[in-house]
Amino acid sequence: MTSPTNNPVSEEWYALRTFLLALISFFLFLGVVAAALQFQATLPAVSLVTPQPLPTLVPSSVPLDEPVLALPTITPTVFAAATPILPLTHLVQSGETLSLIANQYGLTVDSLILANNLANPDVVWAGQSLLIPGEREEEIAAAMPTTVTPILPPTAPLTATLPLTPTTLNGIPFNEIVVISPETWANIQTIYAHGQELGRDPHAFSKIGDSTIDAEHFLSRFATGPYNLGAYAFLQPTIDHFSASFARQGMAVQIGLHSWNALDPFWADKTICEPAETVIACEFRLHNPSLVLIRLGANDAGVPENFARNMRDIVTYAIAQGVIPVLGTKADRAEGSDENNTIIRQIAAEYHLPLWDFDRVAATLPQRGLDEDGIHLMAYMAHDYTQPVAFERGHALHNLTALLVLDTIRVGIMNEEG
Amino acid sequence: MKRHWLLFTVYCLLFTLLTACGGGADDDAAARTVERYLEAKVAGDADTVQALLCSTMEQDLLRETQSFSSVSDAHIENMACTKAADRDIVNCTGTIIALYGAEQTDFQLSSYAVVQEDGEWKWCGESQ
Repeated sequence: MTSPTNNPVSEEWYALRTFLLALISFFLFLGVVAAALQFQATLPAVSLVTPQPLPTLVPSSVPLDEPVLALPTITPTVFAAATPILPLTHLVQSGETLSLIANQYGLTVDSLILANNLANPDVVWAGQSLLIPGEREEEIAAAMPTTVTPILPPTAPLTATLPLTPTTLNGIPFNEIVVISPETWANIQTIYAHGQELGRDPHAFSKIGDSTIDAEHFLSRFATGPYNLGAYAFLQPTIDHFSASFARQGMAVQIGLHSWNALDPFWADKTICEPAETVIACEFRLHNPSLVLIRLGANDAGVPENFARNMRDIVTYAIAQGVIPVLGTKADRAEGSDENNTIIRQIAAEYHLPLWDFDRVAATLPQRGLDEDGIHLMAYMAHDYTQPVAFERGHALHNLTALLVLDTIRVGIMNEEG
Repeated sequence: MKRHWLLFTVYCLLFTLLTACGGGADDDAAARTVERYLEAKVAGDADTVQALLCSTMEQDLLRETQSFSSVSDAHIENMACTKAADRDIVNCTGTIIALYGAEQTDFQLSSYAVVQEDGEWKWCGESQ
């Protein structure tokens, strides 16, 4: 057995090897330091703050095209230096207009239109990315940190169906919910003019219907509050216009009402209505409306011919009285089919009357927006249209679509702008 | 001569009596018609409604027979009808009680027009 210290060759070799290793390590260290310095020198003058992960844009349980879904605030990527100038985009939020956005950035509407090549400046939608003209990015970033966003990944167009001033409801275009053809416009203008000659109140509407439009749930909240129209705030002038009619039950809304009861004096309140006065005649005399929302059919099961005849009688009477009849379809299938809605649509077309096709919207709702009994609509007392649940409840959308009908006619016939 | 006067007096008395009795029976018949009609309407008894409905309202037969078809347990309480003197109108008091779900609806009875057709009283809607 030998010890290394006792071997002179090995000792020399060992010392030489240690020296060489130290030398190599030294040069390597120099090389790394040099490389690092060189790399640092080539870095751009822009440093990025770590971007936050993009939030989920749309809750999975909510239809994509609900306009009230306020897009979540997206944490911005803030650029620490202004050079190079990177394009900034603005993600349009629900409720914003082009002029509002321009004001936020201290720009003119024209500059936004130009920068984004907008064909129609009146049409921007929540979720749309607008290019902000790049002269004032630093000020913009400082002033609007929560709305300056990176260009969204390809998933962003999911929200592109969310209109700023909504034109759809749960994916159904307004003009398929409130169906008014050019012939209908002409016709109801004539009816309205006749009503004005008779002294009808342009600020009053009446209701004819059964328990599905009982005042407790139907429209009355718009008179008493509180409510939040959210993206539908443009309907507020219509609430103001017809303010005295929303909370009114009226003579022609009764539980169990059939189409034929509306024409039957038997069902008129004897303490208020005149002898032999029908339900509708009594209502018109007392409230003097310029239009009437007709929502019948849930109780008229299995008698389509009778239902059709009575509906014709009702609209004929209303027209003669100078009251615009608005025919509403229903969510339920109490008759075992869509038979009564078909009749309602036919009569609306036949008489050139406005159709309030709530059935189309009901088809987008869980359980058609109906309560457990399959007849009455599911209540939503909050009337908060900033909440996704509002767009899943029958009464909530029944009320909103009724407002849409009233608004359309108010603006179109009564020549009043919002 | 005296005998003739006696016969004439008896004749007049009989005439008055019969006329009075006959009119009362007629008024009762009109009131009874209305009562039967209202009961039939509330019950949805189509045959009786059809039998007691005046001809000018025949087109409303279905409306009349189905008037209360959407409510349950419809019945009339405290009904009392009388024919107005010298007018073809029957005035009724009482209340139709109907349930829709758990909610009760009351319909007050009022005045109804009646007409005679082929010697029978017919119900002809509410009076003006």
